[in-house]
Amino acid sequence: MIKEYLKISFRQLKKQKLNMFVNILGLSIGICSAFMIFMWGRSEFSYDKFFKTENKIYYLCKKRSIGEYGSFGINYAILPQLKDRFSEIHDFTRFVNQSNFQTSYFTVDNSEESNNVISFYETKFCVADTGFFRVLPFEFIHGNAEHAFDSPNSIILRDEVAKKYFGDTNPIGKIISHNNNKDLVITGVIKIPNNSTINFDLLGSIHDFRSNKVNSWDVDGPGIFSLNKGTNAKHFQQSISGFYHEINPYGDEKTFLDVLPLSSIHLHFGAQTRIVFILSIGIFILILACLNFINLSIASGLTRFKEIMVRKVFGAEKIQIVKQFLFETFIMALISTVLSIILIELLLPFFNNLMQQSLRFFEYSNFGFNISVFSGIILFTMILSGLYPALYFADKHPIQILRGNSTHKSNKGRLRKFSLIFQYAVTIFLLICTLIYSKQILFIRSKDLGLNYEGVVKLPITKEISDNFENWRNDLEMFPKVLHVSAASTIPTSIDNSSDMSWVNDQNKNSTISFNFAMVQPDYFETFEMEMAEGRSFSKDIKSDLEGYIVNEFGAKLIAPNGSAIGKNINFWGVDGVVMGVVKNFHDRPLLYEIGPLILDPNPQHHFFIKYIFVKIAPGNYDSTIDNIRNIYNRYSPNAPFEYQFLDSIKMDEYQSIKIISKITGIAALLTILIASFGLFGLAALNIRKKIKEIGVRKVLGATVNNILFNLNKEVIQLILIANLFAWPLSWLFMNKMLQNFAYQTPINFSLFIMVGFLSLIIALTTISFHALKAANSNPVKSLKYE
Amino acid sequence: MSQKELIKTVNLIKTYRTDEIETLAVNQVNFTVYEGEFVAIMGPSGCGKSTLLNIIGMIDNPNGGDYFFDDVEVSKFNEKQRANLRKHNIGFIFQSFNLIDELTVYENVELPLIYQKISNTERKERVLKALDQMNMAHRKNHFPQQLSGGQQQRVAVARAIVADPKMILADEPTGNLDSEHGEEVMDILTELNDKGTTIVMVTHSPSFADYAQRVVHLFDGNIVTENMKKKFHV
Repeated sequence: MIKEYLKISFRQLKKQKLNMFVNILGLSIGICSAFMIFMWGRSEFSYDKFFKTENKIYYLCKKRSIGEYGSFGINYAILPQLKDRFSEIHDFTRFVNQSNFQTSYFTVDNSEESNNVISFYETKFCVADTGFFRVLPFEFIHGNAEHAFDSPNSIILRDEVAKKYFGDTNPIGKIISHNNNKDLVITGVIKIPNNSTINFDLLGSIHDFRSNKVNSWDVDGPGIFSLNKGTNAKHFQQSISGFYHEINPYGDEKTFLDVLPLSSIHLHFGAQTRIVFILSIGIFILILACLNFINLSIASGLTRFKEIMVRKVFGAEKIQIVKQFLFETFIMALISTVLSIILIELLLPFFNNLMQQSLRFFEYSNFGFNISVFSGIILFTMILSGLYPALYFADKHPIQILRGNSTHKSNKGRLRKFSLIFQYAVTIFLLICTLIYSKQILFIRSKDLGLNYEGVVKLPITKEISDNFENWRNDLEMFPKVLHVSAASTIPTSIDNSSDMSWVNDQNKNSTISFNFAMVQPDYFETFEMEMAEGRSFSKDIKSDLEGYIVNEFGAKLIAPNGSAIGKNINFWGVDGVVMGVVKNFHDRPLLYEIGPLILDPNPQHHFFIKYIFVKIAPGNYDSTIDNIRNIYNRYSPNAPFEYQFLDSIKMDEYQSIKIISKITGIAALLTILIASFGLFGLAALNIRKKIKEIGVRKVLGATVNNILFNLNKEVIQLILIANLFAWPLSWLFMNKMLQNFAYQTPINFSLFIMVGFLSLIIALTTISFHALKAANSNPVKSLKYE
Repeated sequence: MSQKELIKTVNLIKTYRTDEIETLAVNQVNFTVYEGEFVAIMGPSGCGKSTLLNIIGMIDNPNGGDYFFDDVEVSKFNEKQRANLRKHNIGFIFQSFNLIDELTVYENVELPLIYQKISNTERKERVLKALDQMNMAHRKNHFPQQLSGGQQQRVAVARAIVADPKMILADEPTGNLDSEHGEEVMDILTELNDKGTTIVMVTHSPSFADYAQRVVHLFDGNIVTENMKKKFHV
């Protein structure tokens, strides 16, 4: 019997080639897209679950009694004291990205072997406690965890970084130099999986680089610890909750200690919302594709009225009819699945590029997941698309065949209408979201940030240049195309460090407010063409300027709400100074945040915080100027690598997640248009075939081609309009909420909805026009004769 | 000669109901067909002849009365029981042939045997025999769309007889054929009847009704006349 079913299945495929092709392709595209998204989602939810340890790993956090976690940074002093007090703690480590505080370049001198000195700046040079690998047992490729930090000045490399410096040679025991200043011995090479929150390229000891901080109350990074096997984390959290006040009685009384499982960290700060949104897109695409498949299969199945009734007359039992339909839909679902696997293999590299992942389909660890998902999809589509027509026919009397009734008169096609509305509603929703996201990105790109990045080059500062900055500046300014030279602790639109700033207010009381801050060299404002609202900027020629401060308008308003802040005495980082200038507000943080108070500090004692040089170059041929800068740079720091970036090329780097979401939404919108159009194309063919006699009769009675077209398209137009009515408010609500993440938002105009509405109508009508025009232009004699 | 009743209906009633209209298609019909008979049912359009044939063929249920098939009362049978009885005892020939387009001639004829779960070897033997009888064996690998109307009806007849049924029900078997092919089909039916197969045929055509031994006239769901045309063979 299976042979019979197989034979009929393939003959049906051959008979309705176009419809079957459209159906199978639509489902394949849907499965492929959804599956890649599910793979990504699985990866996102699998972060940090790869550690093979019996000791559960946690972040130590400070939580206010009301609201979300403040941040994952923890005071240096807490963990060592916690370990001393609580025996439940197996071990701990603090984890700091040293590159955030100090420009770090590493050099390997291979000149003896290969006449080669390899040098790179590294942005992920981190430092940690000696207990790091006891808490986080990463896999060692060379060396081992027990002895990684036995000696001072040890360093562990990530495998790709080891390859970068040492090729395929085992680097254990070799020397790598930090900033040409400190020689470090390589004691290990480790592998860090892609789904690790703890990410670094080089790891040194916190005692070698931040020894002055290890017992301080500063906060520079998270604290991670592991509990002994069998410890109840909830009980432990309750017992340490008040410990913060015990050891820091002058701290914020609303702050308590809390523990967060390491595996949950990746999902914080909006990540979970983003992941759920993208997974929902995947689920919707799959539902759309399955619904399409089910619809087309049912519609196609219901045209086989005659065949099924003949089978029943000649003795087919209900179960045999059911099996036949289920088998046929199984074959189609199987073909779709195989095709989708091919599509996945072809498209996964592009998807990985888009999502910045390195997912692999054919991997042993994915086998169970892959089988489960595909089996589920095949079963779901097979049952829903095969069972409906099967049970419909199975319960019918064979009598209909004797009435010559070879077509099925549908019960108003409720399923078809519902699925069309649903598909187009999802498509319209995604289109609107994509357009609004794109509008927001355009808005960000074009927003006046209050400064100008054009022609500004960023270079990492070296100790030699920092110690001789004025000479460096003078040397560069000799070149006519170099307009301005300055330096700062961060780029002006990413100032995310904050610290308390105090002054005596108009009521003669001490005021302290947290200000964002940046350490700067003179000529900073001129380099970025920032305008001064009051006072003047730091002059490189006036030494006393280095004792003053400049604040932004927002900060000035806080300091002197009723007058001018110029001349006001303030205290920052324990140093008194006078406000000598007020800069016009500029966006010192990404546009997700509103402008807040900002202080710019030129104090040479704080220049250790400065990480970047900024050089403004006159427009024209930049290459020769860059070469000149390179030569000067190499003269000051011959061992440091010369790496530069034009700031306007990295302007949008902070908006990676919205760019990814925008791209995914856009691609999803295109896919849903494709899938919905496939469905509509196939259904239109079947629908119009049923109406062939009606069209013939209408034409005989005088209907024009346009009359026929209107008659055929009428229902689709109504359904698309209903789909718009559903999609518009949902998308407005959703995007309104998503844009709340941005302090500065593009307006959502009603005209955008109208435009998408028109577009959806055009897409739908274009899709069915092939069949509609063919039917409208057909010879009525043929259709009536056929009937 | 056996005067065994193969079909017997007693006060058979069939009503069709819609929201507004109730139509009495078969009205208290008492009808008997003996084994080996060739009976033609005639009447104007809408008189209930096809409805009566459907009930006899167990494709439809009566609303009242009794229906005995081979001494078994079947009017209260469920669909499964009717299907079982139907596939082992009755062959059907339709006006519009009703061959399955996706199946070859061979596969169409084979269909009833598949549902009777007959082995592959035996199926092959019986299908080829039936096709031979209908002179259609040489077209066994063709599809219905490749055949003429007369050829399609010959295949339909082969399908009807392949399971060796006790009775063949033919609903306007010549309705879609020209006179030459119509006579061809009638000759085949006569030949089958000569070999002992009971045949009940619905027809509009008096000339084709003449092939039968008995003609039953229906009007508005009632049997109005029955004429014995000729004695049927022993």
